[in-house]
This record gives sequence, C-alpha cells and structure tokens, in this order.
Amino acid sequence: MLNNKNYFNQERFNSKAIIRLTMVALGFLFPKMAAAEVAPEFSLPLLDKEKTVSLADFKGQVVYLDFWASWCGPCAVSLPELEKLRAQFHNKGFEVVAINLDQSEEDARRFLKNKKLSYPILMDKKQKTPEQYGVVGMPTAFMLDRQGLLRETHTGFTLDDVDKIAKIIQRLLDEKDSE
Amino acid sequence: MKNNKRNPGSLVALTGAALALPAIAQMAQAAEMPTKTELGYRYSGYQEEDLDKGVVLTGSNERYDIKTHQFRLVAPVGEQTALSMDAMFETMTGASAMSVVAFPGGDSMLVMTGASIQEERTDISAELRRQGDQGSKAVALGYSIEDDYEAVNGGLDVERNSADRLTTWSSGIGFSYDQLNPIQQANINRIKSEDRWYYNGYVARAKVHSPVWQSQVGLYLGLYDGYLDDPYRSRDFRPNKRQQFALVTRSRYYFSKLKAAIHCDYRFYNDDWGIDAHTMEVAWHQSLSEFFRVTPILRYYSQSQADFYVDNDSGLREGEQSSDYRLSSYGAFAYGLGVSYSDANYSFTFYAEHYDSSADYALTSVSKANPFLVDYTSFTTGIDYRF
Amino acid sequence: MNARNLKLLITIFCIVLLSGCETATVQAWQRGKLSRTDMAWQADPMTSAYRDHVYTSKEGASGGIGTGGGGCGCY
Repeated sequence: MLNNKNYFNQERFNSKAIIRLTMVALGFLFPKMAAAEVAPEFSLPLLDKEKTVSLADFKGQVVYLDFWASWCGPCAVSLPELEKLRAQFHNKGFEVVAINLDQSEEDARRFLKNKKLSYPILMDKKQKTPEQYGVVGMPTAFMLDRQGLLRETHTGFTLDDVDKIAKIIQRLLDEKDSE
Repeated sequence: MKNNKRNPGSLVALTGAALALPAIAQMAQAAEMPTKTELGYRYSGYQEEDLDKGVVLTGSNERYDIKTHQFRLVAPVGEQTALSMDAMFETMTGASAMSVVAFPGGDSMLVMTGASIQEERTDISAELRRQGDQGSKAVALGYSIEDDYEAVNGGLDVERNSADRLTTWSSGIGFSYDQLNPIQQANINRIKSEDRWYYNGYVARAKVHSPVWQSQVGLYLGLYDGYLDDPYRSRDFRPNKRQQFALVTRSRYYFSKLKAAIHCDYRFYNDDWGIDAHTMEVAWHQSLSEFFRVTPILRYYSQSQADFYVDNDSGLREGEQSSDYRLSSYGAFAYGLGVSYSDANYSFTFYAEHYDSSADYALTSVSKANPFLVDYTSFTTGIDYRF
Repeated sequence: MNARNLKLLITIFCIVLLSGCETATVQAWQRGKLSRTDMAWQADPMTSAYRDHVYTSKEGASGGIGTGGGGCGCY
C-alpha cells in the first residue's frame, strides 16, 4: 500500500508549479507583501502569418495569456468567451494572447475555422512556453498586469468563471489609475 | 404479438444467464464532463443461424432474430453535472431449446419450442455524474421489462484523479433485483414467480504511460442470490447463489505515423459454478481521412464447463444439473468490421459482426459438444448529433 | 481454477495495480492523442453497449465492462 501513496503526493507536480501556486496563495493572503514574478518572455509566430509576436509587445496592457489546444473540451468553451471579454475591455488596455499547443497547425486551423477571434493566436509547436510557465492542466491562463507581472492563474474553464475573470481584469486595469 | 404469448420459451432463455446489464456496468464510460449535448440512435439486427435439422427432435430449427433500437442523450446540466439517459427496445422472434435428449448411440438431439415466439423487451437507465476538482461521483438507476421478467437496478461510482491526472482510480457498487413470472403452458408444471438479487462491485485503475499509450486494469466481483434456474427447460436445477470474479485489462496505443489506434483487451473470468473464461479482443482503428475511420475487430472467447453441466436431460438424474450450452465448454471467434464518419456535429456509424462458436475452439478439451452452440451475424447502424 | 490459484492471481493483480513504477511524466499539453475518440476505452459507447449486451446474453461469463480515466485530463 505504500506505493499507492505515490499517486497522490506532490512529487509529480513540477517544482515551478509548486512555487507559482505558493506565490499565488501568498499573494492572495498578503496582496501587498508578496512580490509578483515577472512573466517569462517569449517570442512565437502567429498562426498563418509571417509575423512573430513577443510578450514585450504587450507591455503596458493587462494580458490574459491563455494556453489551449484543439482537443481540449473546456478550451472550446473559453475561446468565444474570451472574445467577448476582449470586446468589453480592449479599449481600456486589455488583450488576450492565446498560445496554441497543438502539434499540428492543421488541427488548430480546423478548430478555429468558424470562430471569429480578433486576439492574436500564437503557435508553440515545440511546447516550450507551457513548461516555462508551469502549466498544470488544460486550459490554463495567466493574468498579467500592466507591468508584465504574473498576478493570477486560472485552470479550467466553465461559463461560471466569466464573471470572476471580468472582475479580475477590471481590478488589474484600475490599478494604473490609482498609481 | 399478444396472440403468440401462449407459446412456450422466452426471453429468459435468451437473456437468462445475465439478464439486463446492471447499471454499474454502463457507468463511467465517459467520465469527462461533456461540453455539448449529444443525441444518439442505433438500430441493430441480429440473426442466429438455423440449427441443423438433424439435431432437432421436435419443434422448430429457427433460432432468434432480434431487432434493437437504442437511444442515448448525454447533456451537461449545470456547470459541473452531466446527465446521460439510455433506452433500448428489442423485439425478438424464434425458438429456444427446452431439453437435450441423449440416444443410446451417443448422439444428442434437441427438443425445441415452436417457431413463432415474439417478445419485447424495454430497458431504460439514467446516470447523473458530478465533477469535482480531482474526480467525479455518479449515481445510476435502471429499469428493465419483458413479458415474463422485470428488473430494477442501481449503482454508485466514484472516480479520483492523481494530482498530475495521469492515474485515475475508480470504484463502484451496484445491485439489481429481478423478478421472473414465466409464461405458463398447459400440462407443464412451471414456477409461477421467482426473484433474485444481484450485487456487484469493482475497483479499477487507469494510467497514462506516454502521450500515445494508456491502460486500465480492473477487478470485478458479482454475487447472484435467488432463483437462477431456467424455468423453460425441462430439467434445470442450478445453485441459488453464484459468485463471479473478473479481472480486466485494457490497453490503447496510438501510432502517429499510421494514424491508427490499437485496442487490446483481455478478461479473465472465474465463478464458483466452476466456469473459467478467457476473453481477448483486438481492434484496429484506422483513420482514412479527417472524417472517415475503418475498424476491424477480432474477439476470441473460451470457457470451461460448469461443475453441474450435463450433456443431456435425463429424468433419472437427481440434484443440480443443466444442459444449457452457456454452461458447457466451448470457444468462439467474433469477426467485426466498423466504418464511421464523424465531424464536429455529426457521426454516422456502421458495424457488422459474425460470431462463430464451436467446442473445437475451446482452450480445454471437450468430450461432447453441446448441439445448441450459437452462430450469429449482427449489424449496427446509427447516428449521433452534437450541439 | 482452484481457490489457491485464484488467491495467487488476485495477489499478483493487486501488486500490479498498486505499483507505480513505469510512467514517465506526460504533461497536460501532451494529451492530444490520448483524447482522441479512437483512443477512448469505448470508441463508440452505444455500439459497445449493444455488443456487451449480446455477449452477456450468449456466454457463460459476464462482468468487467468499463470505467473511466486517461484521455484528455482537461480541467
């Protein structure tokens, strides 16, 4: 039975995820004390475009950085909802950056065919960024403030989450005004 | 048809050994929360090959012909709860065996019922599954009715994922309560009404081994308690308890270059009636394009006989005995071929299977083959719609 | 199979079931193939239910039909 314990202990979590989760928890308990981590920089190609996009391009904006794949059921729910959130907050300085983790562009393209999305879809076929960010489940999103600091992590997606996410976006957008 | 009800023989003979699939057996097959509502329909035709006239002493040599309609609804109800509902309607015609008679030369012949039994069967079940952070819980209920038989069943199951979601433990318990009211026939002294309980439980572990390989291993226990005889056979006396044990392994492997998945399943079964059985199935799911898939399936089954199995129904013998072929030693091959089309909203499927059983296919040597072993051909066709 | 062999088999099974040896880590974003319908325990659940119903009616053995796990692993 000892072996059995292995399945439920934390050793299988990668250590970055643990640090990040701990920081999120600390940040929640002591919002002014915990120093938020700087979001790791990356540079990735846009789907079906020559252009490459870097995280630095969004400096000064509140960013919802979403990791998704065509085979992930909740991701299909999230993408259109993110489009609505973007429409609501874009002119206040909010952007969605969606990183696709399919190994075949064709799968991503097929999935997006009838979806009208105005935010950038980046391709990470080598799947390096989810490792950098310590993604633990699909989908996972990171919310970055205007300084490019990691402020919130959101794993999974249901329609019930939309209001909660909107409130966080609003809070992060408001921060600039108070500073 | 109602006017055929007086004919002897029945579904109990057809579904007698196991009756309805208990609710628990149908649970937890799609444990992930659905994001769309799905409606499904299947129509199946099943035809058993006629018996060789040479082995039929009296009655018809025509065996069962069954038509089946299945309906399914799977829908999210709320953010964390999924509902699935299943209904099955069957109509069957054909004859069944009443007894096996042995002749001094060593040959056995069958006493069959008349040809035109027609019976109907309805089976409905529903499952409600609630997702949590690291697993799910479900409850299921089912009801089944035939002309001479009625059953209710229910089950509970719990699934728990490891933190990394690579391992899933699941376990469940279930019950079924069956009541039999055999159709009576003049001059034959049949039981009027009998019942039985069935309890079952399982524990299983699914594991992701690599991005293209996952497997599952499970242990199943079942206990029947009550009337287990076949009331339509002339001399059928079985124990009133049956303990079943099954060990199941499943493996799913994906060949990215070939765009194909191989499924390998194996089940070892053992019960306290003395039956050991091995079931192996290999299926190859070949994608031909984004939408089309073709699936050949090969299944092999072999069982040993029950301790009280007899190869003829002698009126002189006392004690537990049954000549039911399902309690004899035999083996069977099933060859199947499926074709399916599936896009984001629709699926169309067709599947055909031929089943061939013989004492010669058994893993154990068989001294005397049961003359009633079944061969059949079946097909299933259907549509699914997601929205 | 006698009772002793059966006990031995159950013991071996339990050891296999509880051992956690063989897995290399598969990350959440690497489960695209595992979530395919042709990698599911039942690729077509309704047809499987029908086939299981037929086998259960026609054969001496029954039980052990299916459970969940594996697949997408999505949140």
